[in-house]
Amino acid sequence: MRAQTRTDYIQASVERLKDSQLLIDNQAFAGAIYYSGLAAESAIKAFIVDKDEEIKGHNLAKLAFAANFARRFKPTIREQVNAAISEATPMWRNLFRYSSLEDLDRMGLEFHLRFQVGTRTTRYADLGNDRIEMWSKRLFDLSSLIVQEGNRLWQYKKH
Amino acid sequence: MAVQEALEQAIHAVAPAATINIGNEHGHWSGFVVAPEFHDMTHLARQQAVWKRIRLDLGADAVEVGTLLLYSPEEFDAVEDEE
Repeated sequence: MRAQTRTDYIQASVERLKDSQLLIDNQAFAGAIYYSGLAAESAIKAFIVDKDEEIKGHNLAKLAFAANFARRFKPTIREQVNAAISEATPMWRNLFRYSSLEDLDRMGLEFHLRFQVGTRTTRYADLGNDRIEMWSKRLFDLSSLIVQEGNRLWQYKKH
Repeated sequence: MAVQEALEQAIHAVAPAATINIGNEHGHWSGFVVAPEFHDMTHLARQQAVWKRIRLDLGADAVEVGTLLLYSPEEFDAVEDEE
């Protein structure tokens, strides 16, 4: 089987993000959380492939270090991408592919999850009954930024 | 002054109680910074504050700084959990 290329990872990141949007539109928030994180992971891994290194693990922060991901952007974009990766990392795990809504809600509480709602960083435990929906939408927004900037960088490097 | 030392001083100027865990990978200083001062800040506000100080203090040497991810202690517990 041929190895994944940078193009494969970038294209997959864009497709998984679209899948996540469809899942959010259809109120399937557990699936949306998983696919949003997968989209971000795929975008970051594209830049590790670029460096011809073996890709290990699923922790977004550690992958970002290996890819030296945000270093590649202009300062204002770098701050936004670093912020998105920082915030998204505790919001996503590869094991979420096996998680029900109930399981995700339990983990959100157990991990003391915090993410930005409006202009403030808020504890997951302090949010209301629609907290899984808020989690999925916030992670989608963060992953969108990571995928968009990763894709833009990839297009730039191609030419 | 070495870049690592200058970088740590810049970070401590923004977050005096910060625990800094950085290393040099591929020629750039990258890693985690964990500080209680970040607790009530958004992730973007943290990045903006730290990078403003890095650019001010390090000048041209700022190009040697890579990816810095900034957390409050409570948040960091969940970051390290899964490989």
